[in-house]
Amino acid sequence: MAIIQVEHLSFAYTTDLEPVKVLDDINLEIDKGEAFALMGPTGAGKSTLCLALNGIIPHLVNGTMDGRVLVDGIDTRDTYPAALSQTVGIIHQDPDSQLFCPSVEEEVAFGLENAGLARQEITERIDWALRVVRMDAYRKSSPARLSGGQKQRVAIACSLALLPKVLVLDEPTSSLDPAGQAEVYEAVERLRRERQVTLVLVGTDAEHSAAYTAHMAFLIAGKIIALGEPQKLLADKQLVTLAGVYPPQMMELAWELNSRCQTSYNWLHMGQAESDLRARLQDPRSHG
Amino acid sequence: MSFAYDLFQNGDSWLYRLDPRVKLLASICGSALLLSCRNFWLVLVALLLILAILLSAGISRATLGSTLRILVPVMVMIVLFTALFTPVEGTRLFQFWIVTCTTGSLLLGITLGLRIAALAYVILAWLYTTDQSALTRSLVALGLPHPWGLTLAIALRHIPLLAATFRQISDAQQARALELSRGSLLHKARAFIPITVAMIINSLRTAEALSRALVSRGFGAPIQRTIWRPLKMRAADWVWLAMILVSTVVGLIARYAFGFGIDNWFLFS
Repeated sequence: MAIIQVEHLSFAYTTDLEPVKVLDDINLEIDKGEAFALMGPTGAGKSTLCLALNGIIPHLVNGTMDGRVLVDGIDTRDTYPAALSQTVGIIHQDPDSQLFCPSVEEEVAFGLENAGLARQEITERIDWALRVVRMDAYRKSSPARLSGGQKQRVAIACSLALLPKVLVLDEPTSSLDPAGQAEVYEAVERLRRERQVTLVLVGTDAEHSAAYTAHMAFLIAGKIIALGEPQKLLADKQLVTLAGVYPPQMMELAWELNSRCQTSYNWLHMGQAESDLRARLQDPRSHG
Repeated sequence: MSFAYDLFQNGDSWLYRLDPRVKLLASICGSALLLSCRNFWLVLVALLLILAILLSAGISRATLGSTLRILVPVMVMIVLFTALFTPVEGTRLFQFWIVTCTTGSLLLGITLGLRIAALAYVILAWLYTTDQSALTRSLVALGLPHPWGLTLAIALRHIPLLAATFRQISDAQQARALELSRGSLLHKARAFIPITVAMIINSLRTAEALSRALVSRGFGAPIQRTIWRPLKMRAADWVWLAMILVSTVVGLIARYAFGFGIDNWFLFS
């Protein structure tokens, strides 16, 4: 059952010169509890689509929107984004711009206070959210003094504490080192498994998202040019290059081997490569 | 962009534990007393007292020093302008064209310069020791609507961030051959235009990102907001409140009924 339905969504930013069309007739359905990856180059309209998912577009951004977005049956055109905060949580690219409280626990409490929850429930949710993202040891720390990965995990805890049904992560690891990236992806995947939270992972690098998501879409110049399983989409080198997406390293290796050795490997991660190569070593005639 | 720049200094001393509403009232009363006084000795004692309070509260000398470095140019300008352009009785030190400097005008200038430093530290005592959420809660508890309180608290917190951004952009522009230290005053003023433009764009972007983050976390939702940790006055807070109010009333009566602190040099005129 689809929890996100995007129907014929188009959006153009209003500027002094002429409207700039960023999204062009987007149609998308994402099922409840699914992890979905939206990939594309810079300027493709990914962040704009994210803003449309929690109602910031059309309520807080100047522009013209056509079509509609339904999240858990709620039409975002009729609901103010603040009221949608308990349905859709959004983690923006820059964690610094999302954190403004003096301590980690107060950062998480901010959204819960806005939701009008009782004090005891706020305390319980803070404890739970910080435990899930493994930041409970830093609850009294100032967010400004945390590492990039820790900040992003606090930002996730802030959204998570509101118990949203959908979590949108707009390039959540773009400013993080590999260890920080792994921290964030592990935290959100654990959430999806344990709480059935629907994940929308947005970015240009498919290294991590391909391993965690069931479906993937390529967005170029405001249009979805391909939609399907990551394994199938990423195997198409021409399409991946056209979409400006960084493929997983194992997939690049598979492309190289396929072109040099006339094989047909298709790997997203080390495990797949290992089993194929073991089979090949035992039986050199396998895969071609 | 990092949000690490903050007026609030981490700590856990007696001043930190004081209710933020009492601290706000202390800042207001302290400012009122200082503004009503122009006696050199009283202003000097007030400045030393506030510095002693800040040091006893655990605010580092480095923090106080860095604030003083920002204040010194303002203090020097106040001393110069007052000494040169405010006619006050006293021994004439020098005269040039329409400018006359006397011992009285110089003393008044020094007093006003010290007073601006004391005023800054009185207000900073509140900001150094009150974190943003306590700041917002205290303003809201005093009757300000929550969005206003939060906006004011975030704005106060971001003053040092703006200064840091200015420095960052200025360094980047100078690395790209922007000349700020040479040339005429007009040339220097022009050189600041690209920095100012970049800073305005940067500030607008930060404000936009912050507003989206606030809304995404339910700020402005049509729901009655709760407060996770409401402020509570303790016995010590009531004692401080009483002391502050009594001192302010006594100080203002002494000033306006008995002329205490009007003269620049003598305590009673």
